Amino acid sequence: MLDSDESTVVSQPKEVPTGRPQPPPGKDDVPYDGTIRLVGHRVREVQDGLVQVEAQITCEGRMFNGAASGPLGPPDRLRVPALATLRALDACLQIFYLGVSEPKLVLDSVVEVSVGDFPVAVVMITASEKASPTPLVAACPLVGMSDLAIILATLQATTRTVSHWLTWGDRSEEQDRPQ
Amino acid sequence: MSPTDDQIEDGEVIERVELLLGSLTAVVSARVILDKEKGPQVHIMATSEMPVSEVSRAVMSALTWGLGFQVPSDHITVVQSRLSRDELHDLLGPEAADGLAAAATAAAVEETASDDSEEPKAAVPDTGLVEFSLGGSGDEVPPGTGFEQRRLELHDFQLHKNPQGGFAVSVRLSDNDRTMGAQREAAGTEEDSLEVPANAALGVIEEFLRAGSGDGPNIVLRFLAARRLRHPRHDVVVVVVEAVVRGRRIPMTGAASARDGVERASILATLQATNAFVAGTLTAAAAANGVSAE
Repeated sequence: MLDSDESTVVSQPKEVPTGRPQPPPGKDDVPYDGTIRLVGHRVREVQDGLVQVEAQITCEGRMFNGAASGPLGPPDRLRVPALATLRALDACLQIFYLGVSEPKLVLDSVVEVSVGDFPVAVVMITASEKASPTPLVAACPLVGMSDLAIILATLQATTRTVSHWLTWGDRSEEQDRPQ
Repeated sequence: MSPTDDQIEDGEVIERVELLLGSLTAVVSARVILDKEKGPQVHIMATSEMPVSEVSRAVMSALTWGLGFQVPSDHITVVQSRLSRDELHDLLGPEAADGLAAAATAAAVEETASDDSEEPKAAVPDTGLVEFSLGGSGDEVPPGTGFEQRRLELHDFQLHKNPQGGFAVSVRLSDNDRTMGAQREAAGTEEDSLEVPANAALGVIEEFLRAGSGDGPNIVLRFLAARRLRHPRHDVVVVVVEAVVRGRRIPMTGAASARDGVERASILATLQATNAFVAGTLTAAAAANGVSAE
């Protein structure tokens, strides 16, 4: 079992954070540029048979951490780094998301499959803001247990959506999204 | 003496590597020297926002993950400054910031190549990879370069299924305001639905790379395998491709939801697989063209 069977990460509506960065000139209607980068990760065995993964990301100059723990053995082992990454993204959304909706990232599954002769991990996530849920997926080559590869795949699956949320909040697509 | 093809190719590769390394957190400038006897030497100027050991590991990870290069740690020299990135750029200027010789004259610069120096502690100290570009909405290139990371997008996709069997697929990709396309026909087996659109996309991506790289190294993109994965909540196409650059093979994977069709998902998965590689190559090419245009 993972440390929490809640694989849904929900950002609550909140006040606009103080000290938020100013938008760049000419982009007054865009609160943030929403760029998310991976800073690093840490993997450690916290107990016998229990591993903890921490992921650290940066957005708008601030660092956000996410942590998750779970069993050392498959199949839940693959979920741990993905969940840690989603929690880091949630921490970022808690600060920078300006909409009134509750954006959600649900980790549906991380599975190992063979594609041809290649072992691949596939990360499957459902994102929802106020519109219908959107499936997000990414894959990474799996050589042994690669937490970093799964973290990168999780970010690859989600960064465009999260960046869009951070940049445009939950304003309607028709009115505000660039064409 | 005119440069040989190998020298031109080396220049392109070095430019791409330096651009990638320059985009890492804390790295102000990167210089790569290809020494045929000693092997590649990488010199990094960094701010102190991150421990030297982490910058060094990030450089190694970025080279391995981004470009498939293995550079021994003792071939990477990191020079760290107490000045901020902006202060360093003001002090050195954009041209001088590219050279470590200029950095060495700055009084505030201290040599901290060894790991036993006193380093600031990061919140997550045992990091393996400090930073790697993952898409987002721009602003992913080092300040002062004037170039944005570029990615190819699916501009148009058309699928014509033949009532007698088989299909024709038309793919058009765009890079900013430039588009290129390809068409393929297939017999219509399930394997074709996965492989043919991916191969069409790879052909277009290769065209973009050829058009952007001028005399750069020949890059071959190969489809290796694809698979449809049905999960209770996801219908996914997973694609494995490889880039072959000067004999070096770089495997890449991508996945996309098949909710709008398997063929379209195959193309999107191929784009996801090649995005980071293509973005680095196109951005480096744009930088090179910009420099030569000046």
